[in-house]
Amino acid sequence: MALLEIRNLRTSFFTHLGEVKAVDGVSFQVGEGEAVALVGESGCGKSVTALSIMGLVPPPGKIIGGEIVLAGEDLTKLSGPKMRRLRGNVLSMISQDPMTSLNPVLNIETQLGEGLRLHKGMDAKAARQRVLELLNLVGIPEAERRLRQYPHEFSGGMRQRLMIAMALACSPKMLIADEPTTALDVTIQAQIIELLKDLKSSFSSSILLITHDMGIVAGLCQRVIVMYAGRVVETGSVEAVFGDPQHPYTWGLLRSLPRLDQRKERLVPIPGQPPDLLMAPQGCPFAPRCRCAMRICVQQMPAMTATAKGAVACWLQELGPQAVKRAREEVA
Amino acid sequence: MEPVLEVKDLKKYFPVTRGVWQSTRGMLKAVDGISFDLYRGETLGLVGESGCGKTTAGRTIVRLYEPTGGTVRLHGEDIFSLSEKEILPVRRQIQMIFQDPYSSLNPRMTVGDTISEALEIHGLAEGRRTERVGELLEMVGLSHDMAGRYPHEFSGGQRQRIGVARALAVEPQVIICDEPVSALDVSIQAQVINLLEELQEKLGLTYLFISHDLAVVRHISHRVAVMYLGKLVEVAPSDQIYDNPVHPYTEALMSAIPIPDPRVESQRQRTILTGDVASPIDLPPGCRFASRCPKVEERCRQEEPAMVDVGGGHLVACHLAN
Repeated sequence: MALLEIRNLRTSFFTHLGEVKAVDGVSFQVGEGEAVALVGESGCGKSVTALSIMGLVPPPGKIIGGEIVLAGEDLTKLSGPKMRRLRGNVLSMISQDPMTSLNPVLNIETQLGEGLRLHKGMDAKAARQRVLELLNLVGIPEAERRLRQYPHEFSGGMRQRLMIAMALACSPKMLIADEPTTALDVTIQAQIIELLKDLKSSFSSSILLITHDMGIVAGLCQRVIVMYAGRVVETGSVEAVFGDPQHPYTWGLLRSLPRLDQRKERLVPIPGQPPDLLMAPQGCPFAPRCRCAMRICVQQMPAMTATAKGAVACWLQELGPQAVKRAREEVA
Repeated sequence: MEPVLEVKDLKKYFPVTRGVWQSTRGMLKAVDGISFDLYRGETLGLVGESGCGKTTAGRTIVRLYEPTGGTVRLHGEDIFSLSEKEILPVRRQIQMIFQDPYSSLNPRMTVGDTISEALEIHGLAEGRRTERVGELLEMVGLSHDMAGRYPHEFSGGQRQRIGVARALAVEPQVIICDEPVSALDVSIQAQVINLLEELQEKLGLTYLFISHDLAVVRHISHRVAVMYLGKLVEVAPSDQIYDNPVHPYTEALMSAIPIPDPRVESQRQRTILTGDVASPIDLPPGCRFASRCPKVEERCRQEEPAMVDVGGGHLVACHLAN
């Protein structure tokens, strides 16, 4: 059964220039104990999707439609106080920037223990015990001494660990990790990924990983959701999306990546650039950059259709799997 | 073959000051004696993690920072001994492309003015500057009628192309590319990488490509130099360094890079580093990587390893390499 189910979510920003449809009809599920990746380029709406789930969309943004169902309850209908009871408790988030997401005037014990006292009703002593456990769990040495320290006394990698420890404090069922390693060096990134893997197996938490790094996805997640211009264009298991991608945008994304383990003669970039969401196109948003675009692509948005191993929103599907395969090989 | 650019024992220290009187508390050794040669038409990748000194090295080579020590020779001429006036013709031969295409262009100048300013300073294309600016824009895949626009009217990838056009305006031989694609989205990244490769083939350019992204560096570089806390630890032809890394740091770095392929990822063995990075202000006496090295021995903590050739131009600074 799905722990989190998002149905036709629409979040828009009402700027003085007009409505920006940052998330435009997004639907997906995250199962219990499953790690799902939400991938796409900057501005595709992946972070806004995360903020929508958390109920933290900043103004002038607003959820204008759809449902976000977590364990049977629609989060979009919850009142502020009710939502606060969930946030940091069963639903928590690791944000992108560890430098700005910690309160600089609270020490680690107070900061990490806050949720425990609030949500779990722990007293100071019990909270302190649990914070110590958490620090050990995320691999922060000398936890006893570190309790009294402030965020500025920690390095970037350590602060990201603190963020993770804080997010995990109340053993959330659903963890949203928004680019958890983007601000970190690769050797530190490897440590954090290992940590997330451990947590998934030992707590059986569900993880929604938001990233633009296809490498991390391949190492950590079971399923992938590819977003483009506020819409989901392809979903499927990691094996399917990496091994047999169906959407021309996914092909392009994978082909344009240089790889450490291969030497490619030339990279194949995706021509052009993502559309301006102020003037959302009528048809498929990828059509202007797509080498396989047909007349219908610029006229009508394709619906999500099920494939052998996932689902995709592309008119090429109408031509059958053989045609898709041929098109993919021709583009290369 | 004569190298275009020879860097010998390059050093750049920054004083660390404290208090109102700015008393010097110590020296931050950002670049602490690095040496390499660059040959015509080649790309040397300079990689390392944040704070290792790779950007400082690039900026010191073009004398955006005054060097603390060492020499840089361009076609045999020592550019550190030149006066402010004498350096102008040298600047024409070495140009730089910066990381952030948003902050490295003047927002109040049209793109055409930005590019023709470079021509003016060096007295180039007298009388046909507008035409030349148009040519340069076309060369980087933009259109000549974009010269009248301002930087905010362009996307990130386009702005980086403008940065490339500005660097090319003075017909340089060497371009120092400081993280030129890290601020760009992957699909746009590939466009800029391809552009740099095409320009190199067409114009015989030499690149020093500074980046933390090892996959990009492998793709674009002929040789790779790995930097750790102000020193080079390994320099080798790019396939060599990826297939057969010798220094334990290089090895850990390679194993930490995720590969976008679930089958490959599930088979991989990772070397996860532990221990803290040594402080560049208070460096240990021995090898700088000793505090994190999984293969550390006693002499590593006492004696700094020298750079040795382990065969075929593969240089390594590690006691365990020989």
